[in-house]
Amino acid sequence: MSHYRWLIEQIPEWEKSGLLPSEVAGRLRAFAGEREKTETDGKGESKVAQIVMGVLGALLVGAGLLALIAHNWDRVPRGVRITGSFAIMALAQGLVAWVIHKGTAAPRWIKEAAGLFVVLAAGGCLALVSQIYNMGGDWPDFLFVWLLLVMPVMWALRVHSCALFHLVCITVWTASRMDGWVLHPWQDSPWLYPVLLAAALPYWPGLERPGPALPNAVRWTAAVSALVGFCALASYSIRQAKGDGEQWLFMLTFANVAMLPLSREGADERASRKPQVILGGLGLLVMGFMCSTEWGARAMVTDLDKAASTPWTWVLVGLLVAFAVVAMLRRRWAVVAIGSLSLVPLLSLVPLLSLAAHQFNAKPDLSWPFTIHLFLIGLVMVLAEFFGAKGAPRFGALLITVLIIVRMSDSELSLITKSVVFIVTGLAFIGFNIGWSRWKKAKEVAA
Amino acid sequence: MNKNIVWIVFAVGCLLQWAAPLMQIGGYEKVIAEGALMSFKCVAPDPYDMLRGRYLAVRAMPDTFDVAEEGKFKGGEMVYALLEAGPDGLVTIKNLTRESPATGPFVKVKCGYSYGKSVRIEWPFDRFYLNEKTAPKADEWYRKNVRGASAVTAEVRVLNGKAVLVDLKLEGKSFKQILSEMPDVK
Repeated sequence: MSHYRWLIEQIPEWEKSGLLPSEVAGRLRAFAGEREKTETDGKGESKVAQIVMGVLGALLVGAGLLALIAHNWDRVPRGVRITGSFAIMALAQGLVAWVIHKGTAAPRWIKEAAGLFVVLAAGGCLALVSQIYNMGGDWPDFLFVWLLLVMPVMWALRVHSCALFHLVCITVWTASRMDGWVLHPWQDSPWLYPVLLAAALPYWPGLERPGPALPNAVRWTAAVSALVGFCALASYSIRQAKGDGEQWLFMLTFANVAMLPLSREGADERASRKPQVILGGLGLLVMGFMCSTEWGARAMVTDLDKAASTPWTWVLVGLLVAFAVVAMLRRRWAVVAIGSLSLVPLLSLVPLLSLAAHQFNAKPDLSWPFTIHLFLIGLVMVLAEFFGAKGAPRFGALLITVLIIVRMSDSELSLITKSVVFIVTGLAFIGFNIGWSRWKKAKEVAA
Repeated sequence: MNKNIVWIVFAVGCLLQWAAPLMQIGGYEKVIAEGALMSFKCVAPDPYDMLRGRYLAVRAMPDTFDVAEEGKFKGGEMVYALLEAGPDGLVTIKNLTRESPATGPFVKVKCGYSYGKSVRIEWPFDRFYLNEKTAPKADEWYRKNVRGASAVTAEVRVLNGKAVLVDLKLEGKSFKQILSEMPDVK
């Protein structure tokens, strides 16, 4: 049952008990009825469920075709095999042509299923040809040709199933091209990733969006794809410079993804609709905690000069600054604060600090700057709420607690001292949690 | 989006989906029909492909070539391997060049890692697809014979830089024929 159906069923009872005036009840009924219509096919069946079932059906049929081809019917003449696979592809293309002809009258689930069916049929056709002629090359090569061939289907139908296929394929392919010790032409290297990603957003050509909003599945897949794809690109670029320290570039990538400019409405959406912020921010925090330890900070500054001499690093820094300005205009302070963690390694490039460290024949130690930075982020998140600004006290307290645990684990203090600190921190965290709940409750009662 | 644009994009997509495999078929059929037959010595199997089924991994030899000057070719670079048949009938590499040779059988190959003057090359054929029922037996046969005294050879048709692996042979006999003569392989 949809949320709107549930609401419609509750209204008479609320109206009867006097909770809702009849005028409001009527307006609420009309609103929920309209929304329910857009979510279902008019018979109470969920559109999402229909789409999922349709896509699953197409996926199974396509997977069956691929498995049939993989059996390798070597006793069947190759002409017959080729004709068979082209016939299946023609059938799938015919279905897509019918969907396009129907236009908006075609149900969404048929569009999704037809898109996926033609994707798999084209893949099956390619697989058969490469099998018959014993073509070499590994499966990411195959994946690449496949995704290029079916890209126009994603554009023509603007269906989420094809977009998901595209995003998964470009991610896998880019990750497979990470080996920077071998020279790939740019069109066969992770440098192609931004172009491939741009091809899917928001299902080109044209500027009209594919629906009222991108579903969460596409958003999360795109966020994961962007993180993996751009990290692969970062890794490739630094290895081309014969360096090894990708960590800083990874941090910059996470920060850029987390701070990707959003419209005002986008910035106000709930967190689950902004997976790039969650995943990018989480990646940054994990790396920040790692760098707050001595070994982590040492790993970060290793080959930092190589990273600094890679043009891609400065492209990322430039983008980050631009994104930070937009984020500040949107008042996304938490994202800016976490994103700024990626600029801490710049400290080791400051001539004076580097010179001082080199006096002692050492690389600059960044563990303390990272620790202080993380502590300040946590503290501000806790205090902001108490001073009337929008904060995240529990999250801030969690950051500080994790930071203490990480620093203690890394320290050379005795086990007894560590255990005392852990216990005190744990009690303080629980105490804060209880205190915060009471404070909030008291505030609500007062309001 | 304008419906005409949708139709155009879809038509281009369909065209690509037909043209890509058809062009491959045309190219490879030409190589099979007109290409020179070359025999490569093979080593080391490792069969599996999640999308295209069971196959025998074919590592054709030679897979290295000594160039005149160190660092002449970079890893990942596409070059042409000029081939010739040795006294035993097996392929040897005569030269590696950036430009396509004017005469003689040659194959477009990818350079791998270089060790000094020695350049590793990747042949464009590295697998022989098999029916899933015959694959385990073929794998066993291949592993047994690839290290034996008589070399397993890959029969490859070569034309204008393209190569198609057409058969694997042991002592001049097609491995498919050998497998079909084995009692438990249908």
